[in-house]
Amino acid sequence: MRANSLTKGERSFKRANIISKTFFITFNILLILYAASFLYLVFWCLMNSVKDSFYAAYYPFRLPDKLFFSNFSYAWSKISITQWNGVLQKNVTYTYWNMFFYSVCFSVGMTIMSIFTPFLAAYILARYKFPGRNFLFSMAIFIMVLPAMASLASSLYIRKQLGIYDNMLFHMITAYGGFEGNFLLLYGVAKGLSGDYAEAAKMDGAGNHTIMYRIFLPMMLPTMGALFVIGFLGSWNDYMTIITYLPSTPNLAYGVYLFKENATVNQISLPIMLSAYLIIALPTIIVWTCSQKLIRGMAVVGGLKG
Amino acid sequence: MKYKYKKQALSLGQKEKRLGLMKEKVQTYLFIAVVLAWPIVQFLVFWLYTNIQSIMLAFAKVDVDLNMTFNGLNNFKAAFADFFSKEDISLRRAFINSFTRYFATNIVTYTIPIIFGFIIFKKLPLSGIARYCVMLPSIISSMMTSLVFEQLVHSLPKLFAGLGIVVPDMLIDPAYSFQTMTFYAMWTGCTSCAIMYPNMFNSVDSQLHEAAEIDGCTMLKELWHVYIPCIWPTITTFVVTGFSSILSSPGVLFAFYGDQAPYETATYGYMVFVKSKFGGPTQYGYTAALSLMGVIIVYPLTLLIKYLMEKGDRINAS
Repeated sequence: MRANSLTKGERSFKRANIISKTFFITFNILLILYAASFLYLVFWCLMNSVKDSFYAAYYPFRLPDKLFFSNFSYAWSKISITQWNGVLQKNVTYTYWNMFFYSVCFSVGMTIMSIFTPFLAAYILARYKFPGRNFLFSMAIFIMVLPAMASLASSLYIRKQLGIYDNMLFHMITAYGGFEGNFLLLYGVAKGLSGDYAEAAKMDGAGNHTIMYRIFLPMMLPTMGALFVIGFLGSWNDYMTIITYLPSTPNLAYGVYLFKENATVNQISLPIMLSAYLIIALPTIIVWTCSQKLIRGMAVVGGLKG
Repeated sequence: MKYKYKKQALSLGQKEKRLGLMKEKVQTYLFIAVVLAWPIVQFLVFWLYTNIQSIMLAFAKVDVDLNMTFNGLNNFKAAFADFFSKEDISLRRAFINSFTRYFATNIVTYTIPIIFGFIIFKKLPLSGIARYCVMLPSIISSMMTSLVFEQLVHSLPKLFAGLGIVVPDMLIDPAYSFQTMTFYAMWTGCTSCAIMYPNMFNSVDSQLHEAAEIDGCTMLKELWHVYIPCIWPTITTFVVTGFSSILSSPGVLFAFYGDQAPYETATYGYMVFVKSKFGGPTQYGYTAALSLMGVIIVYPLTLLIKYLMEKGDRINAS
């Protein structure tokens, strides 16, 4: 009887194990196919970027018959835009290097601010008890739960009224709030850190600023570094913010957007367009490849409960 | 006398200690005030004031020189008239599209990445390479992803024509453009499995995993009974914050259509974005009214979603 029930238990475990294995093998295959679809995307771009214009138009899914690497140098020379600059009040031509400079400034600046401002709020709320702390935390949750309101119209209105519309520096400073975006994640990380080092430092006479910048900040750097990589990749390809708030400082993503928009007028063929896309994607591919270890070490925690 | 002197010295010491503690407390509060000053100022000006301004704009008329005049409920009347118009159904359609796309897309993009993320976390075969490749849409420009997708969809009719099957151009045909855009959002929306979920699983106490292993848990049961409950608060954050932007996010349409997306595929957020940005200051009042209407609808639903998600928390549910 006992042996029988044991066999039943074993049988049910075996069945559950088979179901589990089948499930994960299926999804493992799906994951590989999913990843392959993106790899194909890059391959397709590479393949078509070195084709002759006509061949690419007629046979976009065939391998190239001849390789035209000159497409890259042509694309490089063509990545420039001429448009109205609202600040200088005249038409300005932006070369690849102008846009590259704006891309670097925009990506680095925006990403640093999107991490540093929430870090300030998250650190204080996680490590200090003071009157109003719970209110501030509830407010942060409220901001996240409340739908992003008509902020676009009013944000444009306020920025124009304050005279900071179309100003990259002011946009960087004001775009990210301390209680939004990365706040919850950094709050979770700051709360989870041991206070032993801070106590020891305090006994040695360290002040609040020293504890914050020389003890907790370095401990949070792996997470912040990973957030920087993710934020940088997002900002590098962000052309919507440029269209909306910063039209006079076009970055490469915006340049490529216009490249595509004006392709017909400027007689830009598909291979040239793809070459331009690949030139622009190169820095982000390098950043992503170099930051694999950092990304893997990032802690991700954060719930909406106070 | 000796005793009195001792008592006095002690109280002096206490006084000093108390003074020192008070000084430390004041310094700490000062430090808190200094550090929090910028986040609070930023919040007051660019969140609170922006949103108050947004409410005011909904009741105002703005001219090209940004002068605001009170406009009563006219913006809301115009928005309601457009919403219930029999001739032009674009706004109504965009509203429905937003919800349909959100639910259709997110059923996939909130569930599949968890499983994919678990596979990456468990380092199953080829998952390391897959992890690298899955992030490609976030690395390369969305313009590039959309262009390749566009080319693929445009070439389908030609490919199938060879087999004698008639396939329409699914990006142009109004009967399919919405579904095609939804599919695209699903395809590019599962990339969170590469970073977020594996790292979340990594944060879970390894003792729980060991205990599950000793109890003879299968991998599927481990995922369902150990890992998902542990990361549930973070999943709740993703779902709730994602839902709250349902009527305000312009989504992926801009990369395909610019500001000219057909109404069959447009979403509410996209319409508000296009009207705010390209309609000029004279449209600010109308778009602010549209957005305010969106907030009134979405906020209670967001709270409901938050409540339901927290009810589903098997560890912390109260």
